Amino acid sequence: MKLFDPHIHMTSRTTDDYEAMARAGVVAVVEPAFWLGQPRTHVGSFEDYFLSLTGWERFRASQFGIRHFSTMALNPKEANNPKIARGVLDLLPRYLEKDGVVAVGEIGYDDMTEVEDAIFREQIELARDFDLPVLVHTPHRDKKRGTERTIEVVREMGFPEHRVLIDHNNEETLPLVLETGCFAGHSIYPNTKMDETRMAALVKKYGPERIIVNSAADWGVADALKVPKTVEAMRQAGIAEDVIETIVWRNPIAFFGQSGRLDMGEDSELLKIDQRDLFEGNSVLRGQSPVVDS
Amino acid sequence: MEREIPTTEAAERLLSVVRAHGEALEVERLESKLPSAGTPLARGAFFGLFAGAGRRFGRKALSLSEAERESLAGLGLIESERHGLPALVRAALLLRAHAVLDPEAVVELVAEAFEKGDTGERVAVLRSLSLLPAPERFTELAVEACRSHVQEVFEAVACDNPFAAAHFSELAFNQMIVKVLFTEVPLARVHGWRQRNNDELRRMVRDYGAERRAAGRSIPSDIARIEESTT
Repeated sequence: MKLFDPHIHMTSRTTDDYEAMARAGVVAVVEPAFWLGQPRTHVGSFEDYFLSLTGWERFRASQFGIRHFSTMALNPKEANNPKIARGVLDLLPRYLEKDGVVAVGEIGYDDMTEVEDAIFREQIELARDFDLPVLVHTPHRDKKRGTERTIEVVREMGFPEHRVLIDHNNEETLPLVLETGCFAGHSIYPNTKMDETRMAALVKKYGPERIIVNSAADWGVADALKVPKTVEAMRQAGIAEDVIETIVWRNPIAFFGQSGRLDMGEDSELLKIDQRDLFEGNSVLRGQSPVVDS
Repeated sequence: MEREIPTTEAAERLLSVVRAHGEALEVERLESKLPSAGTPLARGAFFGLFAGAGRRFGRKALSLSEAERESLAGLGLIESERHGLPALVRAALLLRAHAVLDPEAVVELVAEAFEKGDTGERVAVLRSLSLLPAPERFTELAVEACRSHVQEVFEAVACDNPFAAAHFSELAFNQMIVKVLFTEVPLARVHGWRQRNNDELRRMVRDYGAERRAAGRSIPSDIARIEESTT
């Protein structure tokens, strides 16, 4: 089964992760622009980050046969920093035009401040202008209220619900999201957020419609193989292959495909790896034999 | 390369290929927003077109007629099919922008298009350098691009591009050739390497060959080709 990890911060991960993901069947990823664990102090740091998401990281992924897409936004946490917020928002029109950018995100709430609210709305407008879906982060603290407010804002603004992916759901928030037309993401984490067994239970209860799972692996303790591990947990729980495939393949493609920019190749063929022309301290390789697909 | 083709004519040649191969709606959209003489450059719109070209003109592979291939080769654009229509759209955009900007602003615009471009945009900028008047102004940019670890960016200068042979210093050219060998790009794709071959390059390549022999590694034929070459 081919797998899609629709939320993973690969810039923070190693080539070991890329190799392990490819071995486990992950053929495509979406990397949302988010914060880097430490607040940035310049607008230019965001610009270089956006450039790396559309440039170097895409290239790095391709070296392991993985298609890399990204989403662009000012994240809710750093939206609260007045020194950089306006400058970053002004960068977005250029970066939202780039190849491989398949949504505006992660946007939404962190502390649920007024500033976050205004910037959330402004970025939903950008999504409308650029004809892109939106990826919404839900807060760690006061998550249920954050999810409710997210839904209220989407409705108030008349943004099409099927073009909204509300992420990091749990048992408390999923029913709220499923009552709308929004897609519901689940970040499978080693300790917090959601785990594989609980995820399988949710799928048994609610079925696969608009359900998405991701690893959300970043620079913290996380596991880049959580999508394949959740597939295994769902199998153990007796969930049908077709249902599993809908969750880990068809749904993310249906959602991000709405951008019109999710180029999965002819019939989602696997990306051919060619590391031949990359050698010796000059690439991701460090003198190993290059992998070449025929 | 033909001599002294005016930029307006060069842009027109590129656009005629774009009109023949692009989707009608996208061509119409592009033409309505192209920089044109007498109007100040709208930078936001320019960079929007520049970034969006990959998506709007890159949906299918480019297959040129013999006449089109010759017309582009006359501008110094070799192997255009490899890079597709987006690179030609982007070259036309730079040429049109040149027509409305003063020379310093052109250098700045080209630098910005490169620095803030994704891989496809960077490749297109590098392939366009020879088309712009006084291309030697862009030598630093092209040399810097050769330091990229993204192979496509490096190859945009090193392969099928007359720029390096025409403008690089001996040191920069030699470094590029050694990187070509390191990354196992076919030397045959390097435009003008025989004309720029020199004693120092042969020494560098001999040393590299010795390093590989000492490590028990094979010697690709391109290494031998330079080792055995004479100026």
